[in-house]
Amino acid sequence: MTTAVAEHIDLFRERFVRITGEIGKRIVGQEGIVRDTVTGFLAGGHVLLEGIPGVGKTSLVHTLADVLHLNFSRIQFTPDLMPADIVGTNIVQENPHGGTFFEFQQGPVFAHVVLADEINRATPKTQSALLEAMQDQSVTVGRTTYKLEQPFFVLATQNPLEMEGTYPLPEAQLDRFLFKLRVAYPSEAAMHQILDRTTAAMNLEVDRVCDGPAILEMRQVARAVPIARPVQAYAVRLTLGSHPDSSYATPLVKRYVRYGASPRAAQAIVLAGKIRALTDGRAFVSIDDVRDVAMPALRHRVLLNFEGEAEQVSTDTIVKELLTGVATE
Amino acid sequence: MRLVVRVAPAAGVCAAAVALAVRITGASPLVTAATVAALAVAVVAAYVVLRGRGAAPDVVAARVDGDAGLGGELRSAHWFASQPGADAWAGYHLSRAATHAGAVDWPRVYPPVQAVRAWAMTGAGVVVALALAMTTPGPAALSAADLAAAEAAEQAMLDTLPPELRAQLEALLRQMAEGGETADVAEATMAELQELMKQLDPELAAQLAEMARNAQEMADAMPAGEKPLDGADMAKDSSAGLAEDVRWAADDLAERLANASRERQTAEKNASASEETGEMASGSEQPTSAEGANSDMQMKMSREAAADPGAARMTMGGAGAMGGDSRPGAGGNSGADGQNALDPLAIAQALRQELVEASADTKGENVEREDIRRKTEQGEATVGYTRVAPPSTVDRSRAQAPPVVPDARRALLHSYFIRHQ
Repeated sequence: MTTAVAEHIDLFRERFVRITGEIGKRIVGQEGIVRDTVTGFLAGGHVLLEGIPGVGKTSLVHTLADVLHLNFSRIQFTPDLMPADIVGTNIVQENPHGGTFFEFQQGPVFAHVVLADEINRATPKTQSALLEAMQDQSVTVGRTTYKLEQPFFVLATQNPLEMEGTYPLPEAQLDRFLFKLRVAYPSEAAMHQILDRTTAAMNLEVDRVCDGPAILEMRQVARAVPIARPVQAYAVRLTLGSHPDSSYATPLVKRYVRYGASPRAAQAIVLAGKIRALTDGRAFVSIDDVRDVAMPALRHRVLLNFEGEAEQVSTDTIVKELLTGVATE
Repeated sequence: MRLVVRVAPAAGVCAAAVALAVRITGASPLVTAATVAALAVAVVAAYVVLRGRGAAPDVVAARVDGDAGLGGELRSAHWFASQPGADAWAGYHLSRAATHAGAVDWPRVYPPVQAVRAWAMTGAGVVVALALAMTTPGPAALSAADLAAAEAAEQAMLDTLPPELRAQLEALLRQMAEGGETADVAEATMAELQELMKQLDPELAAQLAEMARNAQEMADAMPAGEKPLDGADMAKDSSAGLAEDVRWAADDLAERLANASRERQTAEKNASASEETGEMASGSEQPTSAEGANSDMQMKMSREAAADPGAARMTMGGAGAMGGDSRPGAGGNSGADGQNALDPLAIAQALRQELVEASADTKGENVEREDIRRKTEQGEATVGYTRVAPPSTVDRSRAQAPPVVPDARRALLHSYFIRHQ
């Protein structure tokens, strides 16, 4: 029995290393982002990427779909984008006998990997079209509900600089993202690697190292990893500590936070912690795993109050204080 | 157990330090014994409590895990080991944790405590403390030895005097101690004593002075509480039970009475001298006239006292303990003798009564007019705080418009309503 568990762990780790390694062929200097993106994908969640243009957000999603041998669709969010442009619509078709009937034309959301590029440029009505798809893995058009094929993974991007004419995501939609990752500008050495790879050859080919069933199997394995109650209690304390009226709240939380993280945050922390443990070859979740994934899981779930917004307090600062202020024992 | 072994030497050193401090300060050796006993009880209690403790809590497991660098595996396995019905994953986790924990070099993580050395240090500390406590002379023994040495020094000083001089000195001292002689006789006695002292051999006088100095030094070296009391201290001690102001008043009164007694003795001496010479001094009539005048004054004051009882308490004399005899040389009650009138208990009682009445004034109870303001007056505030319920309705017509947003805050407001993700 223990041998089977060990094989599961080894296989998971091997696949994970191969996926991140193949993505690393195209994406340079963003190892942490790649690891967290794949972690979010294997946890069954969705990831919001935030970064300035040109740092490889879209390339990352393209590469992920290529490596995983999955269907990929890209939706460029614009202010005039309509919900039907995402989920699809019923169109009139003509049958061979001359009659007409409605046939559902699937939208781009019907794919394994969906890239919602610059998601904050579409109207809230269009953004909300993704809500059901992201949470329930299904789409309802008219009176018919269509199940999305698994694995389903939404990877949205947004630009933090050009905020004019944008529609910031509502808290309900932000909460549906497992992780929010900040894509930093590459370092000087990484810039050299990017230039060497993108200006010498015409196209960088990546191997397909995994497929859909393998991804689903990895998701099952990840959920089987046990977590001790003291470690889980730490994840709960971190989540509760983001609420200003909690006994675990830190001074910054009490001063600048209006609402804290939802229970989805604790789910995200535990699930991602399990994957982090498996990628490290372990069959248990440690406190370090929880601390490692707490930042991307909590930073977009903390809602600042007016004072925090006015003083431009970063939610990263608040989460950092949570990680240092909440006791691990 | 490891904690006990670490703490025990510190307890021994602490006991020795306390014993040393006791020896330096001259405190009772019982302090040392009590300290040693308390530390021993604490160490034994800690051992019993730590030994009787059950399974290690998660905090201890986390600490051991961190010390061994197992990355949380031992802590997690510790929790799963306490849970019944472990599945395959938990079993695998436990087996891996056991393997990894077995591979840890525990003696390097937790170096063994040198228990023998620790207990030896503890025993040495306790032995030193007890030795210091047992060899420290107690305060009683110390004072008795010093007293004996001082008496021996005094006896040696007396033995060096010539026998006839010693007999004369003893007779004079006995006479002075018995009292009853007049001031002139006492002065003559003192002069005679000084004359006798001058007749001593200079070397013998120097020797006596040296011995007296040594005796004084020995007396000074004795503990403060064990020094023999001199006359002033004895007087102070006799009035120690009195209040400060009563004691001061008694001393002052005693001094005045002593002066009056001395003056009366001088007057009697003059009168007797006049009788012997057959002269009638003018001063001999003074007491009679003064007594008559005093009697008139006493009656007058009694009448005033009848009209004003409050004032009578302060000034009425004669029958009470504080009855003032205004005659020169008179003290205390009119019918009492000058020396016998110095009854300290009666004086203290009278003064205490007077002080109690005076202190009652500070409360303002016997002040007839409330508008009198004195610096020593005490009182209690009658102003209180009462919570008032807020008005149920709000008059909106009195509400003011919100303040205009300052220009400096407009950008912040703008950034607030157009929030960044």
